[in-house]
Amino acid sequence: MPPMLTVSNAEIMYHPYILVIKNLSLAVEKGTITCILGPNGAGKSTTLKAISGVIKYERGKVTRGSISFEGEDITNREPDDIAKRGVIYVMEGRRIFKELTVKENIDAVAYTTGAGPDEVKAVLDYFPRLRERFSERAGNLSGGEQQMLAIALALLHKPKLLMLDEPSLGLAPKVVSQLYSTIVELHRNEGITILLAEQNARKALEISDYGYVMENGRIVTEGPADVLREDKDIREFYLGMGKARAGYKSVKWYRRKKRWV
Amino acid sequence: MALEAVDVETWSNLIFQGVLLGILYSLIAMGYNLVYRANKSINFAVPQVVLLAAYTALITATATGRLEVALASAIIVSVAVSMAIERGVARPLLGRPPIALIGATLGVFYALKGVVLVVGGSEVAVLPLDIDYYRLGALTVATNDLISLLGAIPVLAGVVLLHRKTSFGAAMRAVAEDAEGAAAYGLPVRRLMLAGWALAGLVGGLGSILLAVKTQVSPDLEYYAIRALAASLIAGLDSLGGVLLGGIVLGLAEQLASKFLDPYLPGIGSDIAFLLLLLILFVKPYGFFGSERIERV
Repeated sequence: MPPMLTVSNAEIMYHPYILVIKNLSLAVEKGTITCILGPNGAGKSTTLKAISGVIKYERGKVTRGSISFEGEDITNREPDDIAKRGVIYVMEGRRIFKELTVKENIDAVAYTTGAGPDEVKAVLDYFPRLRERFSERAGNLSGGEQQMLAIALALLHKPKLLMLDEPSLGLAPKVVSQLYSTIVELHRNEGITILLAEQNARKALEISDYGYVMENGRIVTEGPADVLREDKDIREFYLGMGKARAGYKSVKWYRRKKRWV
Repeated sequence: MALEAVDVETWSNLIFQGVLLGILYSLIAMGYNLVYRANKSINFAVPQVVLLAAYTALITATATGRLEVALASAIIVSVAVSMAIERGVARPLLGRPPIALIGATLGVFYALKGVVLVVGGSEVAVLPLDIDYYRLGALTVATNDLISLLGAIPVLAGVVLLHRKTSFGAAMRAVAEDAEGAAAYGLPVRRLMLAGWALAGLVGGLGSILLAVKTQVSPDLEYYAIRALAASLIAGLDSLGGVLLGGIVLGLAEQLASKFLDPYLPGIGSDIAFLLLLLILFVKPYGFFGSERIERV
C-alpha cells in the first residue's frame, strides 16, 4: 500500500524567484507519527505550507515535483480543497483568531466544516480548559491554551492527516509535555496520522515512528525514530547528548553542516 | 452669526440633518471598511461605483417612474461592479502589498469615470418622488429624509449583526484578522472575501441611492463618497460598528461648519471632512475603533 502522503522531488519557490526547497521527497505512512526536525530556516514550515496549499498566500508554489494525498495529486491546490480532503495544517506561532472569542473561533471553523454541537463537544472533551474560557477573547488565553485552541480548531475538520508546526515553540516544558500527551492521545483514539515539524527533537522523537532531518532546504538524514535517537550526529546536535568534542572550532555550525550535505 | 442668534428650531434641524447625512456617510464608509477587512487595502473605485449606481437609478427611475425599481437597480449594479472588481482586480493581487490594490482600484476609478460619463453624462436631476413635510415639534422632516433614515438603519444594523452574531460572520471576521491562518483551517477564504466585496457593494449602492433621494443625482455624489472615506478612517478602517459614529461626527461637522464658519471660510462645509480627519488621526492614529492588536509573546 502506498503511503498516505507522498512528496516527490518537490521544488518550492516563493515570489517567482526565491528557491527555498529543492528536490524534497518524503512520505508519511497512514497511522504513524512522522516528524521533520531541523533548525530555524531549514524549510520545515515551507514544506508544510506547500503540502497544505497555504503557501499561495505568501506567493509561493511548488514549481517541480508533486505532492499526493491518498493517491490523488494535491500539488498547488487551494487550501480549502486540501483541508476538505482531510489534511489540516496547524501553523506555527498558534495562529488562532485573537480578536475573536474561543466560541467565535470555533464558530468560524464550524461554519466551514458544518460541525454540529456534538462534534464540538467531542473536540472540547480533549481540551476541558477551553470550555472554561469559552467567552474569553482568544488573544487573552495563555500560550498553552492558544495552542490547544489551534489544535481544537483543526480537529473540527476530523482530519486524516494533522500537520503540526512547532507546537512546543515558546511553551513551558510542563505545558509541552501535556500537549504532547494530548497529541499522542488523539493519534491513538481518533486514528489521526500526524506530521510534526519540530525543533524540539527530543520531544518529537519520543512520540514519532519515523523522522526526517532537514537543513538548508533539504533532507539530510531520515530513518525510524528509534534509529535516529541513537544516531551519533543527532544525539550530539539535536539532543545535546553527544560527547563534547575537542575544541570549539569543530562544533561550529558550518562544520556540522558540511558533513551532512 | 453669533450663537445666541440661533433658535431651538434651527439647532434641532441642523443636528437632525447632520445626523441623517452622517448615517448616509456611514453606509458608504462601511463599504470601504468591508473591503479593508477582506483585503487590507482601500478600494478607491468606490466613488465611481456610487456615481454609476446613482445614474443607473436615474435612468431606471425615468423609464419606469418608480423609486423601488431605481433602488433595486442601483444596488444590483453596485454589487455586480463590486464583485467584478474583486474577481478581476483584487483576487489576482492577493498576497501583494496593499499599495498594489490601491493603485489598481485607482485605475478602476478612472475607467469607471469614463463609463459614468457615457451612461449619465454630467446630468443633474432629482429622482421622482413626492415630497411632503412633517413637523415634529421643532423639527421639520421631509419624506426623503424619512426614506433615507428608514433605508439606511436596518442595513447598517444588519451588516453589523451578521458579523457579530452568525457563524458566517465569525468566519468573515476570522478572514479579516488573518486570511492565511483562515486558509490553513480550511475556511473558503476567496468566497468569504467575495462576500465582503458584495456586502460593500450593497451598502455602497444603497448609500448612493439614498444620497440621491436626499439630495439629487449629480456628479457631486462622487465627492460625498470621497468624504465618506474620511468617516471610515475616523472610525478606524477595520471597524464596522464604528462607521456609524465616524459618519455622524462627519455629518454634524459639515452641517455646523457650513452654518457657522461659511461666512468666514467659504466652502468650508465640504472641506471640513479631511481637516477633521487630520486632527483626529493626530490623536488616534487608528481611528476611534481601529484595533490595536493584542499581542502575547
